[in-house]
Amino acid sequence: MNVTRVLAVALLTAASTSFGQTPARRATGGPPNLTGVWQTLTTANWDIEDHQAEPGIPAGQGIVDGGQIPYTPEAAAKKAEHFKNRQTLDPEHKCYMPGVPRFMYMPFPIQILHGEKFIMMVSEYAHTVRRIHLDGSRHPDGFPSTWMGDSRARWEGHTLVIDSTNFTDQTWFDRSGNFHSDALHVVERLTPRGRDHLDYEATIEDPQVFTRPWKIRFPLYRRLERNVQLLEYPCVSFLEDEYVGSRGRK
Amino acid sequence: MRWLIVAIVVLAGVPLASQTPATAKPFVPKRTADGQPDLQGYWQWTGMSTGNQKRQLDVGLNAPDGSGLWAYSEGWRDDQRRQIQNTLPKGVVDPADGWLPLQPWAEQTKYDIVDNSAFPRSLADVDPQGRCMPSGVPRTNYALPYVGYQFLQAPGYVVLYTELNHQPRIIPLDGRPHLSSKIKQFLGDSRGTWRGNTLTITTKNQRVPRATGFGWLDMNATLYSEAIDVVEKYTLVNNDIIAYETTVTDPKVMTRAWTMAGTFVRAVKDWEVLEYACHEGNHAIENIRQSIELREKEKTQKK
Repeated sequence: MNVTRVLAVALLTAASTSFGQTPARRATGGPPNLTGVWQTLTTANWDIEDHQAEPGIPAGQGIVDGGQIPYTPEAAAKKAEHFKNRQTLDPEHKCYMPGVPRFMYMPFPIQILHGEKFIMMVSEYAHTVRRIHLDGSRHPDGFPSTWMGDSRARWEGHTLVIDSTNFTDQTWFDRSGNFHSDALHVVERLTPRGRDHLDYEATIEDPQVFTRPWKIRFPLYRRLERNVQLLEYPCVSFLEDEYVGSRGRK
Repeated sequence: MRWLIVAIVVLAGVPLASQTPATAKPFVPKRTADGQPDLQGYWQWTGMSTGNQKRQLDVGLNAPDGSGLWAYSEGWRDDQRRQIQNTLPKGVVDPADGWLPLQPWAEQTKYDIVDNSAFPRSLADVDPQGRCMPSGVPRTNYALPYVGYQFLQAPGYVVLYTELNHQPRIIPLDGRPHLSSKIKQFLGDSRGTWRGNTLTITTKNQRVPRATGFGWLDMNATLYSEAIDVVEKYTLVNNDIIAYETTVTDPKVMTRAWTMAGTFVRAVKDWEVLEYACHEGNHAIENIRQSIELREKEKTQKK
Protein backbone atom coordinates (compact mmCIF):
# COMPACT_ATOMS: atom_id res chain seq x y z
CA MET A 1 0.00 0.00 0.00
CA ASN A 2 1.45 3.38 -0.96
CA VAL A 3 1.75 5.17 2.37
CA THR A 4 1.62 8.66 0.94
CA ARG A 5 -1.48 7.96 -1.11
CA VAL A 6 -3.29 6.32 1.80
CA LEU A 7 -2.46 9.21 4.11
CA ALA A 8 -3.65 11.68 1.50
CA VAL A 9 -6.96 9.86 1.16
CA ALA A 10 -7.29 9.69 4.94
CA LEU A 11 -6.66 13.40 5.38
CA LEU A 12 -9.04 14.28 2.56
CA THR A 13 -11.86 12.18 3.94
CA ALA A 14 -11.25 13.43 7.47
CA ALA A 15 -11.62 17.09 6.57
CA SER A 16 -14.99 18.40 7.68
CA THR A 17 -16.12 20.06 4.49
CA SER A 18 -19.05 22.37 4.09
CA PHE A 19 -21.37 21.45 1.27
CA GLY A 20 -24.21 23.29 -0.22
CA GLN A 21 -23.05 25.56 -2.91
CA THR A 22 -26.26 25.63 -4.89
CA PRO A 23 -25.00 26.40 -8.36
CA ALA A 24 -27.23 28.59 -10.45
CA ARG A 25 -26.01 26.70 -13.45
CA ARG A 26 -23.93 23.58 -13.70
CA ALA A 27 -20.42 24.05 -15.05
CA THR A 28 -21.48 22.35 -18.29
CA GLY A 29 -24.21 25.01 -18.84
CA GLY A 30 -26.90 22.38 -18.34
CA PRO A 31 -30.22 22.82 -16.63
CA PRO A 32 -30.16 24.55 -13.24
CA ASN A 33 -30.58 22.86 -9.88
CA LEU A 34 -34.00 23.68 -8.45
CA THR A 35 -33.16 22.93 -4.82
CA GLY A 36 -34.73 25.51 -2.56
CA VAL A 37 -37.82 26.54 -0.65
CA TRP A 38 -40.57 27.83 -2.94
CA GLN A 39 -44.08 29.14 -2.50
CA THR A 40 -46.97 30.46 -4.55
CA LEU A 41 -48.69 33.77 -3.87
CA THR A 42 -51.98 32.95 -5.60
CA THR A 43 -55.20 32.20 -3.73
CA ALA A 44 -55.78 29.17 -5.94
CA ASN A 45 -56.17 26.82 -2.98
CA TRP A 46 -59.50 28.50 -2.23
CA ASP A 47 -60.64 28.55 -5.85
CA ILE A 48 -58.56 28.07 -8.99
CA GLU A 49 -61.03 30.15 -10.99
CA ASP A 50 -61.66 33.89 -10.53
CA HIS A 51 -63.41 34.50 -7.23
CA GLN A 52 -64.38 37.46 -5.10
CA ALA A 53 -63.64 37.77 -1.40
CA GLU A 54 -65.68 36.11 1.34
CA PRO A 55 -65.14 36.50 5.07
CA GLY A 56 -61.69 35.03 5.71
CA ILE A 57 -61.10 34.35 2.02
CA PRO A 58 -59.21 36.82 -0.16
CA ALA A 59 -60.38 37.53 -3.70
CA GLY A 60 -58.32 35.98 -6.47
CA GLN A 61 -57.67 36.12 -10.14
CA GLY A 62 -57.86 32.52 -11.30
CA ILE A 63 -54.95 30.46 -12.55
CA VAL A 64 -56.95 28.75 -15.33
CA ASP A 65 -56.05 29.69 -18.90
CA GLY A 66 -59.19 31.04 -20.53
CA GLY A 67 -60.85 31.50 -17.14
CA GLN A 68 -63.22 28.52 -16.97
CA ILE A 69 -62.69 24.84 -16.37
CA PRO A 70 -64.25 22.93 -19.30
CA TYR A 71 -66.45 20.46 -17.41
CA THR A 72 -68.85 18.10 -19.17
CA PRO A 73 -72.47 18.91 -18.25
CA GLU A 74 -72.69 15.99 -15.77
CA ALA A 75 -69.37 16.95 -14.19
CA ALA A 76 -70.43 20.60 -13.90
CA ALA A 77 -73.49 19.48 -11.92
CA LYS A 78 -71.28 17.37 -9.66
CA LYS A 79 -68.99 20.36 -9.10
CA ALA A 80 -71.97 22.47 -8.06
CA GLU A 81 -72.90 19.77 -5.50
CA HIS A 82 -69.35 19.74 -4.20
CA PHE A 83 -69.36 23.50 -3.86
CA LYS A 84 -72.59 23.46 -1.86
CA ASN A 85 -71.19 20.86 0.55
CA ARG A 86 -67.57 21.90 0.50
CA GLN A 87 -67.30 22.39 4.28
CA THR A 88 -67.77 18.66 4.81
CA LEU A 89 -66.61 17.21 1.50
CA ASP A 90 -63.26 18.95 0.89
CA PRO A 91 -60.60 16.31 1.58
CA GLU A 92 -58.36 19.06 2.98
CA HIS A 93 -60.70 19.34 5.97
CA LYS A 94 -59.86 15.73 6.83
CA CYS A 95 -56.11 16.40 6.43
CA TYR A 96 -55.90 14.16 3.37
CA MET A 97 -53.06 14.58 0.88
CA PRO A 98 -53.84 17.32 -1.65
CA GLY A 99 -52.87 15.50 -4.87
CA VAL A 100 -51.41 17.17 -7.94
CA PRO A 101 -51.37 20.02 -8.87
CA ARG A 102 -52.96 21.32 -5.64
CA PHE A 103 -49.73 20.40 -3.77
CA MET A 104 -47.99 23.17 -5.73
CA TYR A 105 -50.33 26.00 -4.65
CA MET A 106 -51.28 25.15 -1.07
CA PRO A 107 -50.64 28.16 1.19
CA PHE A 108 -47.50 26.53 2.60
CA PRO A 109 -43.89 26.51 1.44
CA ILE A 110 -42.61 23.52 -0.50
CA GLN A 111 -39.02 22.42 -0.64
CA ILE A 112 -37.58 21.00 -3.83
CA LEU A 113 -34.65 18.63 -3.26
CA HIS A 114 -33.09 18.11 -6.66
CA GLY A 115 -30.73 15.14 -6.88
CA GLU A 116 -29.06 13.94 -10.06
CA LYS A 117 -31.56 11.20 -10.94
CA PHE A 118 -34.42 11.97 -8.59
CA ILE A 119 -36.38 14.94 -7.27
CA MET A 120 -38.31 15.04 -4.05
CA MET A 121 -40.75 17.85 -3.33
CA VAL A 122 -41.83 18.21 0.28
CA SER A 123 -44.73 20.36 1.45
CA GLU A 124 -44.92 21.85 4.91
CA TYR A 125 -48.57 20.74 4.82
CA ALA A 126 -48.86 17.38 6.57
CA HIS A 127 -45.35 16.36 5.42
CA THR A 128 -46.78 15.51 2.01
CA VAL A 129 -44.16 14.34 -0.46
CA ARG A 130 -43.95 14.08 -4.25
CA ARG A 131 -41.43 11.59 -5.58
CA ILE A 132 -40.33 12.39 -9.12
CA HIS A 133 -38.15 10.01 -11.12
CA LEU A 134 -35.61 11.82 -13.30
CA ASP A 135 -33.84 8.71 -14.59
CA GLY A 136 -35.59 8.20 -17.90
CA SER A 137 -37.88 5.52 -16.50
CA ARG A 138 -41.49 5.15 -17.58
CA HIS A 139 -44.70 4.85 -15.59
CA PRO A 140 -44.88 1.29 -14.29
CA ASP A 141 -47.79 -1.04 -15.01
CA GLY A 142 -49.94 -2.48 -12.30
CA PHE A 143 -49.00 -0.21 -9.40
CA PRO A 144 -51.83 0.70 -7.04
CA SER A 145 -53.35 4.13 -7.60
CA THR A 146 -52.05 6.88 -5.37
CA TRP A 147 -53.00 10.24 -3.89
CA MET A 148 -49.87 11.97 -5.18
CA GLY A 149 -49.51 10.19 -8.51
CA ASP A 150 -46.60 8.51 -10.24
CA SER A 151 -44.28 11.18 -11.65
CA ARG A 152 -41.59 10.80 -14.34
CA ALA A 153 -39.64 13.86 -15.43
CA ARG A 154 -37.21 14.94 -18.13
CA TRP A 155 -35.52 18.16 -19.17
CA GLU A 156 -36.46 20.00 -22.33
CA GLY A 157 -33.73 22.61 -22.43
CA HIS A 158 -34.18 24.53 -19.20
CA THR A 159 -37.75 23.37 -18.63
CA LEU A 160 -38.44 20.48 -16.30
CA VAL A 161 -41.34 18.49 -17.71
CA ILE A 162 -43.11 16.23 -15.20
CA ASP A 163 -45.62 13.65 -16.42
CA SER A 164 -47.95 12.26 -13.74
CA THR A 165 -50.57 9.52 -13.82
CA ASN A 166 -51.90 6.78 -11.55
CA PHE A 167 -54.08 8.97 -9.36
CA THR A 168 -57.07 8.08 -7.21
CA ASP A 169 -60.21 10.18 -7.66
CA GLN A 170 -60.15 11.30 -4.03
CA THR A 171 -58.50 14.72 -4.25
CA TRP A 172 -59.90 18.10 -5.20
CA PHE A 173 -58.13 20.87 -7.06
CA ASP A 174 -59.19 23.46 -4.45
CA ARG A 175 -61.63 24.19 -1.60
CA SER A 176 -64.40 25.02 -4.07
CA GLY A 177 -65.11 21.50 -5.22
CA ASN A 178 -63.19 21.37 -8.50
CA PHE A 179 -62.38 17.71 -9.01
CA HIS A 180 -61.18 14.91 -11.28
CA SER A 181 -61.52 11.15 -11.83
CA ASP A 182 -58.87 8.44 -11.58
CA ALA A 183 -58.17 8.99 -15.29
CA LEU A 184 -56.38 12.23 -14.41
CA HIS A 185 -53.18 12.93 -16.33
CA VAL A 186 -51.09 16.00 -15.46
CA VAL A 187 -48.12 17.38 -17.40
CA GLU A 188 -46.26 20.14 -15.60
CA ARG A 189 -43.60 22.45 -16.95
CA LEU A 190 -41.28 24.31 -14.59
CA THR A 191 -39.02 26.91 -16.17
CA PRO A 192 -36.66 29.03 -14.07
CA ARG A 193 -36.95 32.74 -14.69
CA GLY A 194 -33.83 34.15 -13.10
CA ARG A 195 -32.53 32.68 -9.89
CA ASP A 196 -35.58 33.20 -7.68
CA HIS A 197 -38.63 32.52 -9.83
CA LEU A 198 -40.08 29.45 -11.48
CA ASP A 199 -42.71 29.75 -14.18
CA TYR A 200 -45.14 26.92 -13.50
CA GLU A 201 -47.62 25.61 -16.01
CA ALA A 202 -49.70 22.44 -15.87
CA THR A 203 -51.88 20.77 -18.48
CA ILE A 204 -54.75 18.82 -16.96
CA GLU A 205 -56.40 16.06 -18.91
CA ASP A 206 -59.28 13.85 -17.78
CA PRO A 207 -61.70 12.73 -20.49
CA GLN A 208 -64.15 11.43 -17.86
CA VAL A 209 -64.67 14.89 -16.42
CA PHE A 210 -63.54 17.56 -18.93
CA THR A 211 -64.41 18.15 -22.57
CA ARG A 212 -60.77 18.92 -23.41
CA PRO A 213 -57.38 19.39 -21.71
CA TRP A 214 -56.91 22.72 -19.96
CA LYS A 215 -54.02 24.64 -18.39
CA ILE A 216 -53.17 26.48 -15.23
CA ARG A 217 -50.18 28.76 -14.75
CA PHE A 218 -48.61 30.87 -12.00
CA PRO A 219 -45.15 31.81 -10.73
CA LEU A 220 -43.41 30.14 -7.81
CA TYR A 221 -41.28 32.44 -5.68
CA ARG A 222 -38.12 31.40 -3.90
CA ARG A 223 -38.37 32.02 -0.14
CA LEU A 224 -35.39 34.25 0.60
CA GLU A 225 -35.54 34.67 4.38
CA ARG A 226 -32.25 33.95 6.11
CA ASN A 227 -31.99 30.29 7.15
CA VAL A 228 -35.46 29.63 5.80
CA GLN A 229 -36.53 26.02 6.26
CA LEU A 230 -39.67 23.97 5.98
CA LEU A 231 -41.49 23.67 9.31
CA GLU A 232 -44.37 21.34 10.18
CA TYR A 233 -48.11 21.69 9.84
CA PRO A 234 -49.14 18.50 11.69
CA CYS A 235 -52.69 18.43 10.40
CA VAL A 236 -53.44 14.88 11.61
CA SER A 237 -52.33 15.70 15.14
CA PHE A 238 -54.71 18.68 15.18
CA LEU A 239 -57.52 16.42 14.01
CA GLU A 240 -56.77 13.99 16.80
CA ASP A 241 -56.77 16.82 19.36
CA GLU A 242 -60.13 17.94 18.04
CA TYR A 243 -61.62 14.43 18.18
CA VAL A 244 -60.26 13.35 21.48
CA GLY A 245 -58.95 16.37 23.32
CA SER A 246 -57.54 15.90 26.77
CA ARG A 247 -59.79 12.88 27.23
CA GLY A 248 -57.01 11.01 25.47
CA ARG A 249 -55.01 11.07 28.67
CA LYS A 250 -55.73 8.53 31.33
CA MET B 1 1.26 -1.17 8.91
CA ARG B 2 -1.45 -1.73 11.54
CA TRP B 3 -0.95 1.74 13.07
CA LEU B 4 -1.75 3.19 9.66
CA ILE B 5 -4.99 1.22 9.40
CA VAL B 6 -5.97 2.34 12.90
CA ALA B 7 -5.17 5.94 12.03
CA ILE B 8 -7.15 5.81 8.81
CA VAL B 9 -10.10 4.15 10.48
CA VAL B 10 -10.13 6.72 13.26
CA LEU B 11 -9.90 9.56 10.75
CA ALA B 12 -12.69 8.06 8.69
CA GLY B 13 -14.90 8.14 11.79
CA VAL B 14 -15.69 4.43 11.89
CA PRO B 15 -15.27 2.75 15.27
CA LEU B 16 -12.88 -0.15 14.85
CA ALA B 17 -15.19 -2.60 16.58
CA SER B 18 -17.98 -2.06 14.11
CA GLN B 19 -16.02 -2.89 10.94
CA THR B 20 -17.08 -6.02 9.15
CA PRO B 21 -14.13 -8.40 9.01
CA ALA B 22 -13.92 -8.12 5.23
CA THR B 23 -13.25 -4.34 5.26
CA ALA B 24 -9.77 -3.55 6.52
CA LYS B 25 -9.17 -0.85 3.92
CA PRO B 26 -11.05 2.44 4.18
CA PHE B 27 -14.11 2.60 1.94
CA VAL B 28 -13.90 5.36 -0.62
CA PRO B 29 -17.47 6.10 -1.67
CA LYS B 30 -18.69 7.81 -4.81
CA ARG B 31 -19.36 11.51 -4.33
CA THR B 32 -22.38 13.62 -5.16
CA ALA B 33 -22.05 16.67 -7.41
CA ASP B 34 -21.46 18.86 -4.35
CA GLY B 35 -18.85 16.50 -2.90
CA GLN B 36 -20.79 14.58 -0.25
CA PRO B 37 -20.20 10.84 0.19
CA ASP B 38 -23.03 9.36 -1.83
CA LEU B 39 -25.57 7.34 0.18
CA GLN B 40 -28.45 7.67 -2.21
CA GLY B 41 -30.83 4.87 -3.05
CA TYR B 42 -33.31 2.52 -1.44
CA TRP B 43 -32.45 0.94 1.90
CA GLN B 44 -33.78 -1.60 4.34
CA TRP B 45 -33.32 -1.43 8.11
CA THR B 46 -31.95 -4.40 9.99
CA GLY B 47 -32.33 -4.08 13.71
CA MET B 48 -32.62 -6.57 16.44
CA SER B 49 -35.37 -8.81 17.54
CA THR B 50 -35.93 -8.62 21.22
CA GLY B 51 -36.71 -11.29 23.67
CA ASN B 52 -39.62 -10.85 25.97
CA GLN B 53 -37.82 -8.49 28.29
CA LYS B 54 -40.13 -5.55 28.47
CA ARG B 55 -37.39 -3.04 29.07
CA GLN B 56 -35.63 -3.72 25.78
CA LEU B 57 -36.19 -1.49 22.81
CA ASP B 58 -38.28 -3.29 20.27
CA VAL B 59 -36.74 -2.01 17.04
CA GLY B 60 -38.66 -4.25 14.72
CA LEU B 61 -38.79 -7.87 13.97
CA ASN B 62 -35.64 -8.26 11.95
CA ALA B 63 -33.21 -10.59 13.65
CA PRO B 64 -29.61 -10.32 12.40
CA ASP B 65 -30.21 -13.32 10.13
CA GLY B 66 -33.28 -11.68 8.60
CA SER B 67 -35.81 -13.96 10.21
CA GLY B 68 -38.93 -12.05 11.12
CA LEU B 69 -38.55 -9.89 8.01
CA TRP B 70 -42.05 -9.20 6.86
CA ALA B 71 -42.82 -8.99 3.20
CA TYR B 72 -45.68 -9.07 0.80
CA SER B 73 -43.59 -11.05 -1.65
CA GLU B 74 -41.68 -14.22 -0.76
CA GLY B 75 -39.18 -13.71 -3.57
CA TRP B 76 -38.30 -10.25 -2.37
CA ARG B 77 -38.11 -11.38 1.24
CA ASP B 78 -35.71 -14.23 0.46
CA ASP B 79 -33.48 -12.01 -1.70
CA GLN B 80 -33.45 -9.32 0.93
CA ARG B 81 -32.69 -11.82 3.72
CA ARG B 82 -29.62 -13.06 1.87
CA GLN B 83 -28.49 -9.50 1.33
CA ILE B 84 -28.94 -8.12 4.82
CA GLN B 85 -26.80 -10.43 6.88
CA ASN B 86 -23.91 -8.64 8.47
CA THR B 87 -22.10 -8.80 11.77
CA LEU B 88 -22.25 -5.12 12.69
CA PRO B 89 -23.66 -4.29 16.12
CA LYS B 90 -27.40 -4.13 16.56
CA GLY B 91 -29.63 -3.23 19.46
CA VAL B 92 -28.94 -1.34 22.66
CA VAL B 93 -25.14 -1.23 23.04
CA ASP B 94 -24.97 1.09 26.02
CA PRO B 95 -25.89 0.11 28.73
CA ALA B 96 -23.83 -2.96 27.91
CA ASP B 97 -26.46 -5.36 29.25
CA GLY B 98 -28.94 -4.12 26.61
CA TRP B 99 -31.55 -2.94 29.10
CA LEU B 100 -32.93 0.59 28.69
CA PRO B 101 -32.28 2.84 31.70
CA LEU B 102 -35.97 3.70 32.27
CA GLN B 103 -37.02 5.67 35.31
CA PRO B 104 -39.24 3.52 37.56
CA TRP B 105 -42.47 5.37 36.65
CA ALA B 106 -41.70 5.01 32.93
CA GLU B 107 -41.00 1.30 33.30
CA GLN B 108 -44.25 0.83 35.20
CA THR B 109 -46.20 2.83 32.63
CA LYS B 110 -44.67 0.75 29.83
CA TYR B 111 -45.77 -2.56 31.42
CA ASP B 112 -49.16 -1.05 32.21
CA ILE B 113 -49.82 0.08 28.65
CA VAL B 114 -48.56 -3.16 27.11
CA ASP B 115 -50.81 -5.17 29.44
CA ASN B 116 -53.80 -3.10 28.30
CA SER B 117 -52.93 -2.85 24.63
CA ALA B 118 -55.55 -5.37 23.48
CA PHE B 119 -58.32 -3.28 25.08
CA PRO B 120 -57.03 0.30 25.25
CA ARG B 121 -58.51 2.29 28.09
CA SER B 122 -57.85 5.58 26.31
CA LEU B 123 -55.93 6.93 23.37
CA ALA B 124 -52.83 6.96 25.57
CA ASP B 125 -52.79 3.16 25.32
CA VAL B 126 -52.66 3.31 21.51
CA ASP B 127 -49.33 3.61 19.69
CA PRO B 128 -49.05 7.15 18.25
CA GLN B 129 -47.48 5.66 15.14
CA GLY B 130 -50.60 3.59 14.69
CA ARG B 131 -52.58 6.83 14.96
CA CYS B 132 -50.50 8.18 12.05
CA MET B 133 -48.53 10.60 14.18
CA PRO B 134 -45.02 10.94 12.74
CA SER B 135 -42.66 8.41 14.32
CA GLY B 136 -40.15 10.88 15.73
CA VAL B 137 -36.40 10.42 15.91
CA PRO B 138 -34.85 7.86 16.21
CA ARG B 139 -37.92 5.66 15.68
CA THR B 140 -38.38 6.83 12.09
CA ASN B 141 -35.25 4.77 11.28
CA TYR B 142 -36.84 1.48 12.34
CA ALA B 143 -40.52 2.35 12.09
CA LEU B 144 -41.81 -0.95 10.69
CA PRO B 145 -40.09 -4.06 9.33
CA TYR B 146 -41.87 -4.17 5.99
CA VAL B 147 -41.42 -0.59 4.86
CA GLY B 148 -38.24 0.89 3.52
CA TYR B 149 -36.23 4.01 3.08
CA GLN B 150 -35.10 6.31 0.33
CA PHE B 151 -32.05 8.47 0.93
CA LEU B 152 -31.54 11.40 -1.44
CA GLN B 153 -28.96 14.16 -1.64
CA ALA B 154 -29.29 17.65 -3.10
CA PRO B 155 -26.67 20.41 -2.90
CA GLY B 156 -26.19 21.11 0.81
CA TYR B 157 -28.80 18.61 2.00
CA VAL B 158 -29.32 15.00 2.91
CA VAL B 159 -32.91 13.74 2.79
CA LEU B 160 -33.77 10.65 4.82
CA TYR B 161 -37.20 9.50 3.70
CA THR B 162 -39.17 6.87 5.61
CA GLU B 163 -41.77 5.10 3.49
CA LEU B 164 -44.08 4.73 6.49
CA ASN B 165 -46.40 7.71 6.63
CA HIS B 166 -44.25 9.56 4.05
CA GLN B 167 -41.89 10.98 6.69
CA PRO B 168 -39.11 13.13 5.20
CA ARG B 169 -36.19 14.43 7.24
CA ILE B 170 -34.47 17.27 5.42
CA ILE B 171 -31.00 17.71 6.92
CA PRO B 172 -29.15 20.94 6.10
CA LEU B 173 -25.36 20.69 6.07
CA ASP B 174 -24.54 24.41 6.00
CA GLY B 175 -23.98 24.84 9.73
CA ARG B 176 -27.04 27.02 10.30
CA PRO B 177 -28.25 27.17 13.94
CA HIS B 178 -31.09 25.02 15.23
CA LEU B 179 -34.55 26.52 15.48
CA SER B 180 -35.41 28.17 18.80
CA SER B 181 -37.12 25.97 21.36
CA LYS B 182 -40.38 27.79 20.60
CA ILE B 183 -40.82 25.66 17.49
CA LYS B 184 -41.23 21.97 18.24
CA GLN B 185 -41.81 19.38 15.55
CA PHE B 186 -42.72 15.70 15.42
CA LEU B 187 -39.60 14.89 13.41
CA GLY B 188 -37.59 17.43 15.39
CA ASP B 189 -35.11 19.90 13.94
CA SER B 190 -31.98 18.31 12.49
CA ARG B 191 -28.55 19.55 11.50
CA GLY B 192 -25.93 17.40 9.79
CA THR B 193 -22.16 17.31 9.35
CA TRP B 194 -20.03 14.98 7.27
CA ARG B 195 -16.73 13.82 8.71
CA GLY B 196 -15.07 11.24 6.52
CA ASN B 197 -17.69 8.63 5.71
CA THR B 198 -19.84 9.48 8.73
CA LEU B 199 -22.83 11.78 8.71
CA THR B 200 -23.53 13.04 12.23
CA ILE B 201 -27.01 14.46 12.81
CA THR B 202 -28.13 16.34 15.91
CA THR B 203 -31.88 16.51 16.40
CA LYS B 204 -33.54 18.86 18.84
CA ASN B 205 -37.00 20.36 19.36
CA GLN B 206 -39.06 17.20 19.16
CA ARG B 207 -42.69 17.41 20.15
CA VAL B 208 -45.13 14.73 21.22
CA PRO B 209 -48.87 14.30 20.55
CA ARG B 210 -50.84 16.85 22.54
CA ALA B 211 -53.72 14.44 23.10
CA THR B 212 -51.60 11.91 25.00
CA GLY B 213 -48.47 13.67 26.24
CA PHE B 214 -45.69 11.26 25.21
CA GLY B 215 -44.23 9.78 22.07
CA TRP B 216 -43.31 6.13 21.78
CA LEU B 217 -39.84 4.90 20.80
CA ASP B 218 -41.20 1.49 19.82
CA MET B 219 -44.37 -0.57 19.57
CA ASN B 220 -44.22 -1.44 23.27
CA ALA B 221 -44.74 1.94 24.88
CA THR B 222 -41.14 2.93 25.54
CA LEU B 223 -42.00 6.56 26.06
CA TYR B 224 -40.17 9.74 25.13
CA SER B 225 -40.87 13.30 26.23
CA GLU B 226 -40.21 16.73 24.74
CA ALA B 227 -36.93 16.75 26.65
CA ILE B 228 -35.51 14.20 24.22
CA ASP B 229 -32.22 15.02 22.50
CA VAL B 230 -30.76 12.77 19.81
CA VAL B 231 -27.38 12.40 18.10
CA GLU B 232 -27.12 9.92 15.23
CA LYS B 233 -24.23 8.67 13.15
CA TYR B 234 -24.72 7.16 9.69
CA THR B 235 -21.46 5.61 8.47
CA LEU B 236 -20.95 4.28 4.97
CA VAL B 237 -19.21 0.96 5.58
CA ASN B 238 -19.27 -0.19 1.96
CA ASN B 239 -21.52 0.38 -1.02
CA ASP B 240 -24.33 -1.73 0.46
CA ILE B 241 -24.19 -1.10 4.21
CA ILE B 242 -24.68 1.94 6.40
CA ALA B 243 -23.80 1.43 10.06
CA TYR B 244 -26.18 3.37 12.29
CA GLU B 245 -25.69 4.44 15.86
CA THR B 246 -27.76 6.81 18.00
CA THR B 247 -27.30 8.26 21.48
CA VAL B 248 -30.51 9.42 23.12
CA THR B 249 -30.94 11.60 26.21
CA ASP B 250 -34.31 12.15 27.85
CA PRO B 251 -34.05 13.28 31.47
CA LYS B 252 -37.84 13.03 31.97
CA VAL B 253 -38.02 9.34 31.07
CA MET B 254 -34.54 7.76 31.32
CA THR B 255 -32.01 7.78 34.16
CA ARG B 256 -29.15 8.42 31.76
CA ALA B 257 -28.19 8.60 28.09
CA TRP B 258 -28.20 5.34 26.14
CA THR B 259 -27.00 4.18 22.74
CA MET B 260 -28.44 1.89 20.10
CA ALA B 261 -26.93 0.49 16.89
CA GLY B 262 -28.27 -1.08 13.70
CA THR B 263 -27.64 -1.17 9.98
CA PHE B 264 -29.24 -0.07 6.77
CA VAL B 265 -28.67 -2.45 3.90
CA ARG B 266 -29.15 -1.49 0.28
CA ALA B 267 -32.43 -2.88 -1.03
CA VAL B 268 -32.32 -5.51 -3.73
CA LYS B 269 -32.54 -4.44 -7.38
CA ASP B 270 -35.87 -3.13 -8.72
CA TRP B 271 -37.23 -2.48 -5.26
CA GLU B 272 -38.44 0.99 -4.36
CA VAL B 273 -40.65 2.70 -1.80
CA LEU B 274 -44.32 3.21 -2.60
CA GLU B 275 -46.89 5.65 -1.34
CA TYR B 276 -47.99 4.95 2.23
CA ALA B 277 -51.24 6.82 2.79
CA CYS B 278 -51.45 6.34 6.56
CA HIS B 279 -54.10 8.81 7.63
CA GLU B 280 -56.17 8.46 4.46
CA GLY B 281 -56.59 4.77 5.28
CA ASN B 282 -57.07 5.22 9.01
CA HIS B 283 -60.75 4.66 9.64
CA ALA B 284 -59.96 3.73 13.20
CA ILE B 285 -59.70 7.31 14.39
CA GLU B 286 -63.47 7.76 14.22
CA ASN B 287 -64.05 4.35 15.80
CA ILE B 288 -61.67 5.19 18.62
CA ARG B 289 -63.41 8.47 19.29
CA GLN B 290 -66.80 6.77 19.41
CA SER B 291 -65.61 3.97 21.66
CA ILE B 292 -64.04 6.39 24.14
CA GLU B 293 -67.28 8.38 24.21
CA LEU B 294 -69.31 5.22 24.74
CA ARG B 295 -67.15 4.05 27.62
CA GLU B 296 -67.42 7.41 29.31
CA LYS B 297 -71.15 7.33 28.92
CA GLU B 298 -71.22 3.87 30.51
CA LYS B 299 -69.15 5.12 33.42
CA THR B 300 -71.45 8.06 34.15
CA GLN B 301 -74.57 5.88 33.80
CA LYS B 302 -73.19 3.42 36.35
CA LYS B 303 -72.71 6.17 38.94
